[in-house]
Amino acid sequence: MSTSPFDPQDAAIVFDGVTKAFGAHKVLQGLDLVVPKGKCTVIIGRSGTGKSVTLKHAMGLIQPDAGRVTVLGKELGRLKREELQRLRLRFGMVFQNAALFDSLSVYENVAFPLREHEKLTEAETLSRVEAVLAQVGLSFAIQKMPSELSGGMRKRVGLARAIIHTPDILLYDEPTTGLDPILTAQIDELIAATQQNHPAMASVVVSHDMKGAFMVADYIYMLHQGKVVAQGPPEHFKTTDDPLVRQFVEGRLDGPIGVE
Amino acid sequence: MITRLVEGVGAAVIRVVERFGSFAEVAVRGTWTLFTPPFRPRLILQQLEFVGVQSLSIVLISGFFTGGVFALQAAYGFGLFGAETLTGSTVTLSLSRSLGPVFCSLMVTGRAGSAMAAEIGTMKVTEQIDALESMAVDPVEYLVSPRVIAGAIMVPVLSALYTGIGMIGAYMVSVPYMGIDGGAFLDRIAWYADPEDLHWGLIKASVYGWLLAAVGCWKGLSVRGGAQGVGQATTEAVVVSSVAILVLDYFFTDILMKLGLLT
Ligand SMILES: Nc1ncnc2c1ncn2[C@@H]1O[C@H](COP(=O)(O)OP(=O)(O)OP(=O)(O)O)[C@@H](O)[C@H]1O
Ligand SMILES: [Mg+2]
Repeated sequence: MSTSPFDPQDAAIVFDGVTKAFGAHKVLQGLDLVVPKGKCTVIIGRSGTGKSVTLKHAMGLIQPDAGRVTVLGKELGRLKREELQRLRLRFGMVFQNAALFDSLSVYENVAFPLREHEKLTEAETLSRVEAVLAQVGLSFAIQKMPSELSGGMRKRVGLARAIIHTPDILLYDEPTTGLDPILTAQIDELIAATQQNHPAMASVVVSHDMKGAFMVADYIYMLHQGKVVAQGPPEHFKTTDDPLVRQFVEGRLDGPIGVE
Repeated sequence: MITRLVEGVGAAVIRVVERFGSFAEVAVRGTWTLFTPPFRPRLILQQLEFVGVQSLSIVLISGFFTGGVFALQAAYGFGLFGAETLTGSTVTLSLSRSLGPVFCSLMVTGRAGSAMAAEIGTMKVTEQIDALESMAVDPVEYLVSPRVIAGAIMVPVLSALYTGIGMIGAYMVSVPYMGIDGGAFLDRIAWYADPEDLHWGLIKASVYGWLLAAVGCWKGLSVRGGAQGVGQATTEAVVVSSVAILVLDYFFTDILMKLGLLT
């Protein structure tokens, strides 16, 4: 397997031999991965291979059993609580199930990072919230409560909340799963545009949607059984005859990936 | 065989210490962060309302009937040797020293402590706690501290009301219903009851209010799994808090008496 062409010294996120088990269930088994700055990295893999767990490691929400996670040059395991908090301010994360605060309105949810960490007037906050909600096409829902929204709408509110403070690293956990094809295209477009508008930003998109992955990715990692089994730019994934990749990309039942 | 036993006991001890450690972490940090910025007056007000105002009706109803039933029993007992008029002072002493703070805390545990565990537990399983952390907000500071301060402030207030309404219940049962002389009933209360009792009762109630909130939050934060885990945490929060309050009250009373602070 080839190693990534990115310099780990100047990367946004580096995973170095990370292993993680939940009880007897080994999820990550020596994960090596480099997320470069200024690019959009896509992580693909079957359901349950540990993609969400990987993203949570990057933010220090889960600690590895072995190996190191380094973010913007800082090794997470060595940071004090306050340092980790400060580092997290530079992230935005779109959770797979949105993880909106269900006691707060859409407006309060999206305004949350601003209220916590920036001193803004109410008018400034409102205009920033309106701007990101417009980007995700949800201006009309600003006064609603999360329980009144559809799954796709919740996901887009989660996206708005993650991008409102223009983070240095933006993690998307399956941003388009469960959306209709037109919205999917719109969100993929938004991910690509956000990346283009912030050339220094690092985006990481976890996805099973190959069409979207090919559209937004600068570089793709494929995870299988807790390891990176293939990596390269999108063209590589389109042309390689690695049977693992072909089976996943084409969604076939027969191949080296066992189907239970 | 012996080593197995030792290992088993050792593992159990470690588990208990770990459990207690995780509770102490939540309780101590949840209290400590009250004194460091950011301060969250809005969340604290919300919790004061939730713990205090919304518990009012059950506290008043249960307080009235506790006082009433206690008066029934006491009046019967004292009646055996013609000392019915002591009913009022006995009920007052017991309510203000122990029954008020303890029963009231148990009621609030069932209503608010359980709800805290359920709400925070649901936030945990729906990744809202992770979301807080990902936005660099300490969940203990954001969720626990408003709840422990609300418990510590509101439970004494409720406990005082509980005691007051309990005395009214005792009066209603003793005087109009059982025909004990009202003047003597009140006279004896003034004679025996000591403001000091009420004052220690309030301090105890404050500790129990803090405790039941801290336990509820801790159980909520340690939920694993899905809806089932939330249900289990809710039950455990009520059981642990109730037992802890009863045990603590025993030792509290014993120590206060030994120190001569209560007679
Ligand atoms: N907190 C946890 N406790 C126990 N097991 C966990 C936990 N989080 C994840 N797992 C397990 O780790 C494995 C990987 O989970 P993860 O959510 O990362 O999968 P995924 O690749 O994101 O899948 P999907 O595409 O379906 O979202 C799963 O088998 C899951 O059961
Ligand atoms: Mg996932």
